[in-house]
Amino acid sequence: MIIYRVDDRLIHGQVVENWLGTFKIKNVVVVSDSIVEDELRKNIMRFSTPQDAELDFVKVEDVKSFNFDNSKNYMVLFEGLDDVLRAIRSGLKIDKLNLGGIHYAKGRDISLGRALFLSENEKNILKEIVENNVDVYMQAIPQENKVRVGSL
Amino acid sequence: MTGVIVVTHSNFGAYLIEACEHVVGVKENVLSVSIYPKMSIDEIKGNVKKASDELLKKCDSILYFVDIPGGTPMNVVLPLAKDIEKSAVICGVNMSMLVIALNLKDVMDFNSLVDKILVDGKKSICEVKSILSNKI
Repeated sequence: MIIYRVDDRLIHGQVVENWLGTFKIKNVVVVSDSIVEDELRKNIMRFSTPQDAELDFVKVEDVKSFNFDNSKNYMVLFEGLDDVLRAIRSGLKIDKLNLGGIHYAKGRDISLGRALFLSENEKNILKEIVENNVDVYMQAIPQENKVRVGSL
Repeated sequence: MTGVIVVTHSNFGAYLIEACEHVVGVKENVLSVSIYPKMSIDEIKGNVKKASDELLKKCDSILYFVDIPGGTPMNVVLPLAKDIEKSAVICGVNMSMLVIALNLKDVMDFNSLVDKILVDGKKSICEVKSILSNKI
């Protein structure tokens, strides 16, 4: 099982203390071009990840060729929708996409939920992701109901 | 099932539960008791007793969390906990400890849960800058 999630905080409390335990996930893949090169941020994330979990860092265009083991559960974390679309365009197949956290910033005037805000540009990106037959749903933590994005 | 009661000076416990719920979601059988300077000891005891009785309708064990060792919350809780066979009073509550408790209270056996909260709670108190800078 692979859970793809967009969360601009990547590895944080909701992921570490909730998603990983709830779905028995022992493998986390952080997708980010900048973090791959950033030893400090990688070390911080290793520190925050449970010791019995494996943590990998990959560049956006390399997710498609990541060697997922079918017998394991994965959480794949993206920082933003633009990276998801880039990964899809580079050949990654995603059935479902969890929107966990896209926090408010200037220009993100479209509110989808408590921790989900989009700019006009991100709205269009999301549209294109949905058009790629990705079932996009909003859910910060597993105990919340999934809310399907469907059509905006 | 295990109930959780966080007893603290002022509203600390209630807010701590709220903070934990952002991470683990809303859990059942979790209560807080806030203690204010103007309250009498009897009133405080009454409030803790009321919370305990409510949880004991559904739970067979209670985990009490209090803030500082030796403070009023601890002093009020101890005599009540003495009469509840499966109960524990854990001092120094922090968010890591409470998150562990809320996540595992209904899936782990009571004594192992208490041990885990103590071990992992202590582990959560650390100076991370020095830990991380050693790795670079």
